[in-house]
Amino acid sequence: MKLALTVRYGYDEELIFAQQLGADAVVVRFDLGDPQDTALSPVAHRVQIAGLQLAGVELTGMPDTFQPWSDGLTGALVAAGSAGVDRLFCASPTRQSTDLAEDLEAVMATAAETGVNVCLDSSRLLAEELAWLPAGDVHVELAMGSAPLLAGADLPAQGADRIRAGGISGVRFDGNGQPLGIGPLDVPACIAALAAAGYDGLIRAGAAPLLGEDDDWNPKGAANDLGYLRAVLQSLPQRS
Amino acid sequence: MRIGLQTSESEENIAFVRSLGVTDVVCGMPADIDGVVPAQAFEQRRDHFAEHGLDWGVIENLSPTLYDEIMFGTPERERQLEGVCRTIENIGKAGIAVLQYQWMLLGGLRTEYSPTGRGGARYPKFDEAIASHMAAACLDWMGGGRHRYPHVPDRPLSSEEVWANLEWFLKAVVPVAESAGVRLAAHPDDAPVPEYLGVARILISIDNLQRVIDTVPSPNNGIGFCMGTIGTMADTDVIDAIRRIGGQGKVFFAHFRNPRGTVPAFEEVFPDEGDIDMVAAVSAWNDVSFDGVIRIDHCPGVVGDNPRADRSFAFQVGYLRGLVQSLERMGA
Repeated sequence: MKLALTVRYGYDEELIFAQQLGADAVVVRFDLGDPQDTALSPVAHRVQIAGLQLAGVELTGMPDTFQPWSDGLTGALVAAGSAGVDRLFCASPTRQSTDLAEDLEAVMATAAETGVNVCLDSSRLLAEELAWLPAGDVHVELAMGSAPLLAGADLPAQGADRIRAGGISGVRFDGNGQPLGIGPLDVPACIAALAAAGYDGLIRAGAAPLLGEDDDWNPKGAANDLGYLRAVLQSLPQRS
Repeated sequence: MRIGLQTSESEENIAFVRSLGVTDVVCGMPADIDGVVPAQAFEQRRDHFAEHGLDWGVIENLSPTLYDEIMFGTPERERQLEGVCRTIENIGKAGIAVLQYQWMLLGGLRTEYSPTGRGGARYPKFDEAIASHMAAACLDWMGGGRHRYPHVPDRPLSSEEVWANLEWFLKAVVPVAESAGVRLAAHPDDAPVPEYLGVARILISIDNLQRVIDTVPSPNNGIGFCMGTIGTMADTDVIDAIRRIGGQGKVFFAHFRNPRGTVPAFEEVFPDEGDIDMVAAVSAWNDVSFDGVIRIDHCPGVVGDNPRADRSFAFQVGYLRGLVQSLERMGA
């Protein structure tokens, strides 16, 4: 598996931080609502020139109603395709309809045209939507620890089932405000189950917890979570 | 094992430790009064930590200025010994279980702190060839330059003399520690080179740490097992060393650190990239049923970090907890 750290676009310190702490790749958070995040085109170059791999761009600041969201995403897909970005992570909007196939038609078509993978956050999907995906190049990032994949005894099995079903382009471990390893989420068991199910893709931690006093991007929490995940990954061969 | 962090009494530092879910803390000694640290000083500090839900179970270290004359074997050692013994009794009164000390007459040695690590991280380094040109400048690593310890030696000291001084110390203080209920943990010499500025360094091998244990056999005489220092000893396998010393129940305290290289030249790197197989190391700690505190040791400098290096320490806490939980839960 490849371990990624989520960084904000334009903050070079966070790229250096990711490299120093041994992240295999970065997911760059790009805020569509931020006037400084104007174009996707430099993202891949900046990451590459900094000596890192780009695992994808996470779009934030997207509209919360479906049609503007879909329009924004298709536009971002076109931009990503020409910018050398091959995966977009995003959360789906709050929706009334569950007819996902019809709603996502335009997104799926654009993803196919551009060759860019869309990775929807499972924590924002209805259970039936999660069961229906993947659809073409629209995949899922499994948010382990957040609804509907809440921490519990069967979470590793749920994750493994989803891996076997296919279409998982990322797995995220959400500590929900606590450092990984402190809360109820059994990350080692989950990662072991994912590995046993054949998953070899991207993993990352969710929002970094605030540890004491910290800068606004919670680097102490990010460091803890990255170190934790690295250790769990390194211990995997010992278990086989 | 219990994951520990070194901390001061500051609210900010304590808040950081607590937020990481760490409850075992390691702290230095309060100030002495005429060579003795009063019991009340230990108790006040202990209570301060306890009010925040923290357990202060290890003192790191016995302040070298309380026993530097003993290490050097000067006529002043008798006076210092009395103070050390009274201080150990006071530690026992405060209920603090472990007192780590070291026997480095010239302190710890490093020659560089340079941005040559992963992504430009700053790695503390030691290179004997460079140290030979630095002379006394090497001695400032532990920040002791403002004090009388460590200082440029007055004369050479052989390993026989340094061993004799340590044996004199152990024979006097181990019985006191037994009575006080305090376990003494000897930290190895860092860097583990046989001499510096003409002064021998003796705790530079596993056999020599064993000699400390055997000099005064006692349940209160043991080792502060610094993985980083032992990992830089020549021809030493850290995993074997954990099993040898830990298997005797003689590790009272441990440091979690991963170096790259051994003497004469090494560097301190992130725990996931050093020479020690940390998965095997934690497995070995489990095998010997180590139930003491393992403290996250000093670590590389990370971009934007504060003077306490919280970012770097947080990474290492997460890393160690990840190893511990993986091995515990998956039965490896």
